Amino acid sequence: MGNHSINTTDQKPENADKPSALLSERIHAGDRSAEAELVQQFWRPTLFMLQYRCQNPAQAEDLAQDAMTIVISHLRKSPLENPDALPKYIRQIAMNLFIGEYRKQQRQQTSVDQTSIEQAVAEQASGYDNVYRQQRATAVQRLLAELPQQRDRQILRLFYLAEQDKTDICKRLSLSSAHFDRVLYRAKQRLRKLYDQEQKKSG
Amino acid sequence: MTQTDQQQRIDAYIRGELDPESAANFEEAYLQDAELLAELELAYALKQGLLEEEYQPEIGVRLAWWQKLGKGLLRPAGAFVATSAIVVSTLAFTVLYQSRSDLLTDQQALTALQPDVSIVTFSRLRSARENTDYSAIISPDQLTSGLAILEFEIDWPPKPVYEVEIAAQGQGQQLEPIVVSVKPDDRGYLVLAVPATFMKAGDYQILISTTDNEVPKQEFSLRVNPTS
Repeated sequence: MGNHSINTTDQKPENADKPSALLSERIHAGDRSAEAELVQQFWRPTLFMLQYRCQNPAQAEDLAQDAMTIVISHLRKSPLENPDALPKYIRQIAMNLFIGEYRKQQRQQTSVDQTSIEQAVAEQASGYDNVYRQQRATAVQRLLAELPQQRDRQILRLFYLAEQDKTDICKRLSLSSAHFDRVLYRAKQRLRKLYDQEQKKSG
Repeated sequence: MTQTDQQQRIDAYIRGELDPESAANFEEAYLQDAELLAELELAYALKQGLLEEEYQPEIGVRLAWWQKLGKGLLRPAGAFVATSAIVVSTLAFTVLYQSRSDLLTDQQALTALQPDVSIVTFSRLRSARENTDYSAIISPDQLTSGLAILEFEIDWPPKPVYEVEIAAQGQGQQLEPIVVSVKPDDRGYLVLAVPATFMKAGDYQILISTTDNEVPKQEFSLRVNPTS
């Protein structure tokens, strides 16, 4: 278990009054609701980070669940030296798992009541992401369907898919830098609006 | 940090432009900042939406399209997009099995895609991730007509598009490497179409790698059983 430990001495305790900073100690003290809070707070960003790196939603979900399980089982054993370092700690665990998967090494095993933790994590995590994902997907579909000009779509595709530099895109499409920024800004603003609408629809 | 700075940072992260330390800092930031995460998720969803729109045949719609092909229910719009993808793959793999001067024309490839032509998905070439080997065997009844679909499970650093170099040897031939751009599907597989009629009986070694040399060459062995 010790191989997940991270050096937290470089972290400032200035945010120790944050609720998230207290989670470590509460979990160590046996507060099961703190475990649920941890999952609720960190599930989405952890899953996103792993999805971004894995490009494989199912695998990312497995790794995110493993990460949450390991974090909770570790915190049950001992709290973090610096509770404010919890996000860094979670990230490190998730990255270790990702790298371990990538290198085809055996995953870390936890021994402390792992099944019950996994079950709790799964219960807390279930449903969080699916709803948001669906809402986002619908918003994106609506945005792409209503893009006013083919050129706007082309700009987005060159920037996000072809990963071309802004300068190159502007040169290629004879655009000013301001025009490019406007297209990106408008698309994101509109996407935000459509997403908010989807959320309102879902109540 | 201004709103513009934050958006630029989000875009830089999504586009993989941040150095490892900056990426780690950014990840720690969004782990504890729900608003930043929400912005990031939207930007990422936009990228994924664009990717899916461009890559419709290989994300979600692909299997349905194959099923529709078999049943003769191919829709014109989907057919155009999907056919284009298959034609590209077909032409790419054709080079492996024929000389460059003997490529399929678009029309020939399209002819091969008539709804009554079966498209065969044969054994996946699974990676060592699951401790299985890289070999696959095509059975004789899969070589009668149409296309076979090779699915390569990859363990490469994630990218929306890979520039892949494929080479093959077998049956006394050394086939020149070709380079194709391939997008992984939503399972992380690279999918290439093989005109089944070009697959003569025998053993082949297929070498696949990215052109940027980020990954070592992976060798797959393929045995085509003699047709009876």
